[in-house]
Order: sequence, then structure tokens, then C-alpha cells
Amino acid sequence: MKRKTLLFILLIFLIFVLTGCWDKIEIEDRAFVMAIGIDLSNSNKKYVVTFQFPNVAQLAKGSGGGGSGGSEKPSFAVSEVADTIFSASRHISTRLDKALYLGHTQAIIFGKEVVENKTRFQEVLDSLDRSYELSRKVYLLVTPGKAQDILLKKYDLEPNTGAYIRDIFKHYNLTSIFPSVDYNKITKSLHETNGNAIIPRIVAGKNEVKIAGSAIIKDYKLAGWMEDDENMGYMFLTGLVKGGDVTVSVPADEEEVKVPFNVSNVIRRRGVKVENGKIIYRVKLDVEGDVTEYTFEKHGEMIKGDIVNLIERETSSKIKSMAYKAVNRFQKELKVDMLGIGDYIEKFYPSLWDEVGKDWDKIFPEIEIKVDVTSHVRRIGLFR
Amino acid sequence: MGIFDKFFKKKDRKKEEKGRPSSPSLKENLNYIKEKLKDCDDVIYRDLWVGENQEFNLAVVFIDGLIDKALVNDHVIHSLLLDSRQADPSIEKIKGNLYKVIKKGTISGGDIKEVNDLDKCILSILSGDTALLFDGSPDIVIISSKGWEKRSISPPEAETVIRGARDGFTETIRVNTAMVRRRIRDPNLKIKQIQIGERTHTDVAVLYMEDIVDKNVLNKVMERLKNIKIDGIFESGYIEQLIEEDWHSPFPQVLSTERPDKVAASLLEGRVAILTDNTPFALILPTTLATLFQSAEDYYERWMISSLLRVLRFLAALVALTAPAVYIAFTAYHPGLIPTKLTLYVAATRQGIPFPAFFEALIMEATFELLREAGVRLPAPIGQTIGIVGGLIIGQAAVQAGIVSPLMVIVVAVTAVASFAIPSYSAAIAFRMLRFVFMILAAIFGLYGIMLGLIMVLTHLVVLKSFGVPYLSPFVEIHLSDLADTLIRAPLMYFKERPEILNTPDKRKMVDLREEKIESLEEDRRGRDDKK
Repeated sequence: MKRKTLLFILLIFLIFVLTGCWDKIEIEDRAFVMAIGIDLSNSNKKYVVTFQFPNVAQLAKGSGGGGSGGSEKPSFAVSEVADTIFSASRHISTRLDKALYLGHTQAIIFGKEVVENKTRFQEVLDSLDRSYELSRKVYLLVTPGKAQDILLKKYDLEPNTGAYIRDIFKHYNLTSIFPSVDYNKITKSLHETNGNAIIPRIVAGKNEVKIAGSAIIKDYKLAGWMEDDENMGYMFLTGLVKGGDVTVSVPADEEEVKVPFNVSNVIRRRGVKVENGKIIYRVKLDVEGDVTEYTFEKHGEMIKGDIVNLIERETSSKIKSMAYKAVNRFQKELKVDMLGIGDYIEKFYPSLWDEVGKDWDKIFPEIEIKVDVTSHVRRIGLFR
Repeated sequence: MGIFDKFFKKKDRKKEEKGRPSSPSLKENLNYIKEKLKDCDDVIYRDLWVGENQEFNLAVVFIDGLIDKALVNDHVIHSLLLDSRQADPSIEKIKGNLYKVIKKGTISGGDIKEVNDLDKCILSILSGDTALLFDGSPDIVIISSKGWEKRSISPPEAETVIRGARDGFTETIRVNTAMVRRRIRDPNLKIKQIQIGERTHTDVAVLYMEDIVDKNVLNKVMERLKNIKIDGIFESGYIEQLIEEDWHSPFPQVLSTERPDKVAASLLEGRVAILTDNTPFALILPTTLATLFQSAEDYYERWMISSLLRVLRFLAALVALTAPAVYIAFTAYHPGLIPTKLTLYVAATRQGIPFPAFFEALIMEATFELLREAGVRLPAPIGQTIGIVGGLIIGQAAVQAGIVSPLMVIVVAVTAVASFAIPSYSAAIAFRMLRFVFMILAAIFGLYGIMLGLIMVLTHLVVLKSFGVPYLSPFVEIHLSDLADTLIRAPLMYFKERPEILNTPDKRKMVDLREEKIESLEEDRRGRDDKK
């Protein structure tokens, strides 16, 4: 009896000796990568991977208030050329005093060449999918130039580029001109539609970055860019708009006046009908918002119903035109269903999907997409 | 074989020691007592000659310091020597039964009993009684004359409340039982007194409500008390450790308190209380984990604030148990689980610190325990100085010297404060001790270790019992009505029944008068309807 207990205790202690501690790295020995840039080398054969992480020592001085600060770099960026992303992340350790840790990575930026090359892009996606450290809330972005160019720069506003990008995403609903989609949504879309996705676009400025518009990926390859208007139309159609402004012109006495319509709420209703063998997809948008500034001859003119009605009508047609721009792009030009129509039919009209699902890619360009927009001005602002 | 041998040996040892019967000769008796109490210079023998011609020999034996001098002088010696002469009984009448006459007619002390065993007589003398021995009679009169210097009633120091009674138990058991008796004027409040300790003969009182208590629990308590064979009991802690179910456990299975109101309330719930002489700490049992988180004040204040405080205390226990461990696990294994900004801050503050997080935490926790221990041992004014030196100077200096990170100091401070928020000191000790185990587990396994530790502690708690009642009671065998007094303290209106886990014969605690009124009204109406 006693022997057995002793043996048991010994076994339990063996657990402590044999396991444990193996993946223990103290927090100060880690480099918290905030942003990753992935480019292709000039010959398109090797990857250039750039890791950016904040200089934590400098951060401590700043928070402590005692140190001089300023002279030291607020963040580091290191690049490595390697055959695969994984080997890049390993080989970079020969040059760093800390272990790279991707758990807090906020953004991954792809250079244009990566998304232009189908096999390369698929390789990159696979390595991201397999990374156990990466959060699924990472933001993926595509830049028309090189990702390295964005990450090697230090921006005055926020030297920590990853946090900078994340903070921009936080207030996407002020404009709705870039899609607020993260890694989770993008990979889901890529895997479900066999290589189609919309990825936000980032452009390097002189002393800041700008996120606007998006890249369209078709069949794991860059198919084109969407500009602000188109992008907003796309977002209206997919129900991503949570805010943003639509500017309309209203004729006044002498010159026409520009009036901003600030979207505050969008209700989207959808329906599918089949008429004469043709599928008709209807989207009805109820847009609510406020008019925040305007200059008319007389104060108080806004209160009159006609002008409000006029603004509502103008807004509706503006939104409609944006939506149709996006529809044209996807349906006529790219012939890719990225508006979620196939998904919608599959879920809500399964019998119809049984018929059309097989060759939806061929049917999609032929269907009719109808967009109805009704706008409501809820508030007309203040007089002083 | 060995086990059986042990058992039988024990039984043999249990043989009752027979006392020495007293003899009719005063001299013989006195000699025996004097022989036994040899070299005890605080024993006082007073020979008396009583009667008109001083023909009767008596002796009074007591211990100086333990007796009430005024009582012995006025009501024993004075009565025997002077008052007895005023009566004029014929000597012939008395001669045969002097003992009876004196016992019934002369001694004006209140509490008197007789023994005819010299050893018992000595025991009584040693506990502060006065023995009156007669020549010609084997009967010895024991006059209760206990009266020694005692501490007056003062507020309970370990369990202060803002609202509630300010009296705490003292070191004298009689005063303590009186304090409980004053709160429950019910003939069903029983106070059973036994003596434990083969040399100290310490008085131990078992208190219970005859018609409320679960007899099984009571029998268990009495049996375990009787099985204690030890030379001395100096504090109720001895009894607690000797009667509890599992002495391997870090958790107290008996609640100790210095508050008479808490004891009284527990008795009404159907629990048993044990008062011990020479200590202000009473024991309450059976005890569950939930009762360790109850404070007397919970019931005196309004239920909302009491409930909030209850929740807070349970959270405090969790913090006291796991805070440093979580810090270690997060910083060393799972930096991905902390918010990004906090991660960078922690990494920044730990920059240049020479110790791994585990040793950092261990150093600070050990320092804290050291300071606490030093503060307890020192007299109050110096204790405060220690607090300032330790808390402010060492904490600040350690951070500035770069040995520990500022966040660690915060974690230690929060842990310390949290551990003091648990009302029961002995429960707090358990959590404080286990904290170090959790730190080690966290250092080795990270969060898995903490979970493993929690599972282990929980398993232990689930198995643990206090006098037959599961330690995690209202949670493990669900009684909905009992849950009203655990994580929250429901309004008093919901406490209509005594705790079900205690299995009390008398279940009803309170009758809601309003409900009763409605019922009686309805009955009245029904009666009237019937008449119609």
C-alpha cells in the first residue's frame, strides 16, 4: 500500500521533470511582430518577408518618464529573403536577439507581385493558414507597390505600423470606402468560392499610410482594383456599410449646392424571382441618415419638405449608381459572383440552387440584378 | 495483524482508573491530599474547630488565587466559625450527622456538591473549588468558589464589524456560555460540559439546540470529543485538529469564531458549537466552504450590499489563489492572450529584469509573507512601521533597482489585499498557501497547470466532508433554498427554512406573516361562504 502511494507520488513528480517548460519564453525575450510584409524578389522566385516590431525598451522609457527617449528607434523592421515564408521566419532568428512572436500581429501586407502570381499567393495563404500563432483577426492588405516600402518607413503619427493599420480599420465606418474584412473573412471567402475575395488596399504616403479601395482577387489572382465609389457600392450590396457619407448636389438659386448625406443605418432586403427562365435578384436598401451641412440662401429652408425630399431622391440615385457600378464590374467585366448572390440562393432557395448551382459561374453573368434604394433624412442638423 | 494489535492495545489502555475513596478519618484524607499536592505552595489548608466546645474537627482546602476570597471567608469560614454558634442544636443530635447539618444548614455558598472520592476532590480543588472535609464522615463537600482575575469582555479583534454586537468571547468558559445563553433564552439550548486533557482537564462545552440539531452530527461530535486522549488542550485549535475529518487538507473543516452572535446564529441553523476554556475561539461545525465566506454583518446589513460583498469575497478568493500564477502563465507562455497594448507594456516593464517571471513572483510573494509574519509578531505600533517599510520602501526600491517589474508589485499587492478580504482567517491561510502551489504549476505548465491545479483543488473539496456534510454542500448536492445564502445573501424573506444540508428535525425558521394573514383571510371568507 505504502509502496504504491510512493510510486504514485514519484510518477506525478516525473511529469514535472519530463514535460513542461519546453515552450516557455519570457515575455521580454519575445519580439512582438506587429506587421508583416510579404513581397517577391526581383526574379519572382524568392520571398522577401519583412517583420516589424516595436522597440519595447524605448517604450518602457517613454512610460517611465525618466529616460531621455527620442534618440532610439521606436520600432524595428527587418527583412529576410528566403524560399518559403516559414524558412524566412526561422532564418531571421540568426540576426535577432529575440524570438519572433506572431500572436499580436495586427496586419499582413502583400506586395502587388504576390497577388499577381497564383502559385505564390496560394503558397503564402497556406503558410498563413498553418501558423498556430497568427490570430484570425489579422488584417490582410494589398499594396500596389512593395510591402517592404510601407514597413521600412517610420510614420510620425504612430511608428508602430501594425497598430496604425488596426486603428484605421477601427473607424472604417466613417467612410465605408474600404471593406472591413479581416483574415478570417478573407480566407473563408477564398476557400468557399475557390479563390475569390476582396482585400482592402493600402497605399504608402509620404508620412502616413492610406487605406482606401480594395483589390479584387479572382481565382487566387489579382483581377483589378476597386476605387472608392465602386467599393462603397459593393459594400452597400453586401450589407457591410455601417456609416459613411454620400455627397449629393442640390440645385439652388445661383449655383448648385453640395450636401453631405451621413449614412447612419442601412437595412437590406433581398429576394430572388424566376421569370421566363431568368433569375431576377432584387436588393432593396433602406438608407437612413442625416444631413450635416448645407448652405442655402435662407436659414430654415431645410425644414420645407421639398428640399428634404429632393435630397432623399438624389441620395438614392447616387447610391444606386454606385451599386450598379459595382454590379457592372463584377457581373459584366469580371464575371465573378462576389456579391454573395450564389450563397444567398443556396441558403434561401435550395431547390433553385439545385438547378443552377452546378454552373453558377456561367449563369451569374446572365441574371438580372435590380437595386432599389430608398433614403430617409432623419435629422437635418442644427442652426446656431 | 499489526493493525488489529494496535486496536486491541488501545482498548486495553482505555481501562478506567478508579479514584481513591475517602475515609472517615479527617487526618487520613488530609494526609492523602497533602501527599498528592506536595510542594504546591499555593494550596491553603485551614483547620477549623467548630461547635460550642470545639469538639468537631473540620478542614477547608483551596488554592489561593483561584478562589473568590470573599466568598470563602464570608460564606464558608465565617458561617462555620461564628454563625453556627448562634444556633443551639444539641450536640447529641448533631453528632451522628454533622455532615448533613453543616451542608444543609451552615454553608451559605450557592453551588455545593458532595464527593467521596479523594482524587475527584483534588481535581475540584485544582479547578478552583473549595473542599470542606469532616472528621468522622467520608463525604466531602465541594463548594464552588471559582473566582480568579479574568479579562473583561472586549470587541473581537479578528472579526470586527461596523454594524453588530461588539462583545467577543473571553478566556473564561462560563462567561462565554453566558454570552450565548443571553442570546438564546430557550430551554432547548443545551450546554454539555466535559473535560478533555489528562493533565489539563480543560473544560469543553458542547452547545446545541436540542430540537434543531441533527442527532447524528451531535453523536459524532460527542464521540470524537470523548476519543481525544491527550495530556493538554490549550486552545480550541487542538480540538479542531483532533476531531476534523481530514487533517491532510489545507482547508479548515471547522469554523472558528470569537463572536457570540455568530455562535448563536449557527446554533439556530442546527449546527453544534464547541466552547473551550482558556480561549476566546469557539468552534462551529459542520462547516462548509460557503460558511467560511459569511460574515456576521452580512445578515445585519441590507441584502443587496451583502450579496455584492459575498460575490466580491468569492472573487477575492480566486484572485488570492491564482493572480500571481496567471501573471506567470501569461507572461511566460501565453502572451497572445493579453491585449496587445498590455503585452507591449508588460514586455517593456520587464525589460532588463534579471529573473524569470516565476522567480520574480516568488521573491515578491515571499517578501510579502515575510512582512506579514513580521508585522503580526511585532507590537502594534512597530507593526505599522513594518508595513510602511515593506510596502512602500521595499516595493518602490525593488522596482527602481530593476529587480522586479512594477506590474508584479501590483499583482502582489492585489493578491495580498484579496487574501485579507476572506472573512475566515484559517480559510485565507489555505488560499495563501495554495497560491504557491499554483505558481509552481503555472511556471511549469502555464495555463494548463493552473487549470490542473484548480481541478485538483476542486476534486479535493468535493471529496472533503465536515461531520458528514459535504464541504461544498449547497453546490454539490443542490438544495435550491440553501443557495440563497451562498454566493449571494438573499433577502431575509427567503430564509424561511433552516439549511437543508444540516438535516434539521425542525425545519421552519420563519413564517411570513403577510402570507399567513392572506391565508387566514381566505379561510375566513370560505367560512362565511359555507355559512351562507
